[in-house]
Amino acid sequence: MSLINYLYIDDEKEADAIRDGLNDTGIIKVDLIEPASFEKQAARLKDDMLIQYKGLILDLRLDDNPKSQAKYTAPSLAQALRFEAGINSDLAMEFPIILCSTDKKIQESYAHENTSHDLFDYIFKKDEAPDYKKIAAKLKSLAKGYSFIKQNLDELDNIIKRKIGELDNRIFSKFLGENVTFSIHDLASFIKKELIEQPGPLINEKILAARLGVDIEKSEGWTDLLGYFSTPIKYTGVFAEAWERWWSDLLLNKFKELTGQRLPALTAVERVQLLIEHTKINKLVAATPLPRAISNNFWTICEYYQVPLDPLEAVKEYTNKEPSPWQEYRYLSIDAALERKGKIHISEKERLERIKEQLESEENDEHSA
Amino acid sequence: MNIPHNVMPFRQQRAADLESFALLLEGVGFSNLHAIRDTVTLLRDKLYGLHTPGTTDYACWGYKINDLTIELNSLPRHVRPRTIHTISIVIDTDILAKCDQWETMNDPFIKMNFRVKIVGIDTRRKYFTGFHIDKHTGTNHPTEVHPLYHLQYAPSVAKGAGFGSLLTLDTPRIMHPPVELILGLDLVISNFLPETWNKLKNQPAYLALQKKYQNALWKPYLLTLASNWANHDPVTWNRFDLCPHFN
Repeated sequence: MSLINYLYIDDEKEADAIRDGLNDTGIIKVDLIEPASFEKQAARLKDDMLIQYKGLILDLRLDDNPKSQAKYTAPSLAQALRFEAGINSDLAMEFPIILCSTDKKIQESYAHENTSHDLFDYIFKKDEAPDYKKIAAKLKSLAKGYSFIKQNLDELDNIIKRKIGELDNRIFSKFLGENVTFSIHDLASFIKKELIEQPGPLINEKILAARLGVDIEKSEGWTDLLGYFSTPIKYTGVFAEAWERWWSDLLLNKFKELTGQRLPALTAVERVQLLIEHTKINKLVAATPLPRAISNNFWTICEYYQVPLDPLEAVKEYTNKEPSPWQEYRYLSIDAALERKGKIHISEKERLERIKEQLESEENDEHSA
Repeated sequence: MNIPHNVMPFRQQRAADLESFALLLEGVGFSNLHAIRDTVTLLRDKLYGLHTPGTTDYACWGYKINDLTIELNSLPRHVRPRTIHTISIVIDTDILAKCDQWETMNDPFIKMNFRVKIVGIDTRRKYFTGFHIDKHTGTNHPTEVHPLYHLQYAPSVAKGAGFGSLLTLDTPRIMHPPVELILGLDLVISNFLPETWNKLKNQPAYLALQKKYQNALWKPYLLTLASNWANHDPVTWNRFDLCPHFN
């Protein structure tokens, strides 16, 4: 089977290493070119992409090399390509666009500016010893996902492999109805960023483990349990090869079917006992709370420590975009919030203050006792 | 499964009301109302059959909602122990009713249970309290007085949590008109989230929903009680069931 080809535009010194790193994985094939002037580049891309490439990788600051003719940045080129594809309804020009740069440059010239974030499907940093296998797998999945969406545009059920009617009807409302138009990129980017990456109808492995009450690290049986819970709750729609997710509503149903009990009402210890009893997978260990937490009615995770949390002891994390009603917030533990690891949501300031006072007065009591 | 032709339109109407209700709540900052959305979907689903227990009569509507969680963003007054820093309210409700009993002068529900669990937490442990409003449907005849619809203070202490210095026993069952989610949550919000309640009460759509359900569920209840003193012709409900203190 031939590999999926990406075109990579970059003229910085580390570009060759990035290309080789990605190619060495054997997962995708990357061709590297130097940037040309904007008009030339845009025109050339149109030909190149049509013929042989399924995706594009752009260095953020294509204008950084004084010797180069390129006087533009990745967002302006991406914007032109997205616009072009949109006005011409040109399916061939719909492909994933990936952004790469150094952490410093992303912080300086990208992180503060939100309007261009929607243009890109994935971002990776060049200077943090890139995990090429992981990046290549993501890129492959994105390209495959775009192709699949193109071929099945009228079948949302098939794209996400779930009956849309079973989900909150607001999730996909903007893509449904008569005379509704949208680009492949709109839909692909919505599925990846809103459905897959934000917790809500779909949850990741850590949150899945929190809800099942299981400590992943200590449980040798975790992989077996994942296998047990794969059908029908694992997400198998587009991008599933590189982004593993599980349907949160189906998890509740499956647990209820299996044990006759409702998952949210149980402690981690009870959940794990029931799992062991009904699945006969023995090597499962219940997760325990963080030092400053006491409850094991886990439902979410601490984004900083990546361990289970009871929402009663969770503090909403800062977000630059409030979740839709069908999505969930991300949380920080009291431990992380008090250690100033991560940024809290402004609405939690007062509550965190109360908790802090409470903990301090306890410490004082202990010292004076 | 044989659903009578007039039942689906009726269920559609209840589903539409619940959907508007959820939307109004989201408008004032509620999130995680999946449980209501799922109920809406079920009510609209022809394959989801609700029937009178013990028969094959599908002329019913109703729903079962579990673990609908409301986080209180500020603490209510007089919370004790004072160390509690966070409180959340968890609602379970289970109702079943015959469609043709809607807006009549008779008992609207076959089954009705609205359970409110309140959980507080400090840095050492969790604390529990709660109450429920339900319809007494037991076939046994307990000696304690049971108004047909009553509110009872009843803390739902989690298994194994211990009772601390809490004394629990059957507390008085206080007469309360029937509720379902729309009326029941109004009671919870008005008591625990007064600011939110004021916002909701400024919205005609919210008031209209309350009025509709009060009319269907409270009017027969209260007119039946009133019939103890004044003659209300249409009343067919037994007032002695509602208020065993009448004689």
